[in-house]
Amino acid sequence: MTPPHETSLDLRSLDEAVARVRRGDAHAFAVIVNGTQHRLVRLGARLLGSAADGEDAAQEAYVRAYRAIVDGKFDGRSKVDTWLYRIMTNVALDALRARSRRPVSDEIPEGLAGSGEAEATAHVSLRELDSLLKDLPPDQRIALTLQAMEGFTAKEIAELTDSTEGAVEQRLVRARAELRRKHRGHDGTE
Amino acid sequence: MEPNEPGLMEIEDALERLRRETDRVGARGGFEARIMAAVEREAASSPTAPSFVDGVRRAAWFGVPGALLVAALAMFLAVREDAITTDSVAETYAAEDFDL
Repeated sequence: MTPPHETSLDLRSLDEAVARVRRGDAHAFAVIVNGTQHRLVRLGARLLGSAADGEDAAQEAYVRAYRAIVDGKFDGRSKVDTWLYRIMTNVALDALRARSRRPVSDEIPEGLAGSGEAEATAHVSLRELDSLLKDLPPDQRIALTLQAMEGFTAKEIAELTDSTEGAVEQRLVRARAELRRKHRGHDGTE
Repeated sequence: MEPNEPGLMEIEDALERLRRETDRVGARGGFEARIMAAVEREAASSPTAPSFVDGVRRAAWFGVPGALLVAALAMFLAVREDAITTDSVAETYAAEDFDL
């Protein structure tokens, strides 16, 4: 499951890399990281509202993925990239639930600060996205981000979040209703 | 909820704008090296990584059945040798003339 508007991954080389890692070649994991890192970090950043938190979440997701491959827990029934997205959404869900204990990282990543107008805009936009979605329950926030930012369908989101299509659609409706309520509150029309 | 409901279009427009503006967000330089370092640490600390204990266990896995086979063979040969010796002694006694 590759997000819409994305160039397709070389899935065969990802599968081969998984097989090599399973045989004990840890270096082959670099092929998986290289082929998926941009999308995975961006997904983490959008889910958590910060590039630094996105990178940390992606690192945790990759370590969990590596451990699962070595332990033989990845059965290859789903595509490698879909499986990584699923791990990433779980990591993000854990991070969002723990957020009450730890505030959002306000750090501007070194590689991003002052490296161009587009990057600076991206950083500000991530903060704006976080501010927009911060009052939503984590499951609604994840569903809305996966749909509106990454272009996944309700059925695909259900697969990524181990849920049902109906439950995801309900989360999306509730998330939009909450955003609308908040928007009206800001406009003073309520 | 109708798509043209007041407020909803503004929200959809804002989400679409934020999607475009965050499209270039990605990993910084050195991210892959950082991940591979974490993976190598994980590989080193993993209980599945080969260790001295694993070596002993692997040796035992092949060594114990081998030792049992050798012991069984030795026992068989010993019993067989004992039977041959007994028969041989019996034949010697049988061939002996005793003058009483």
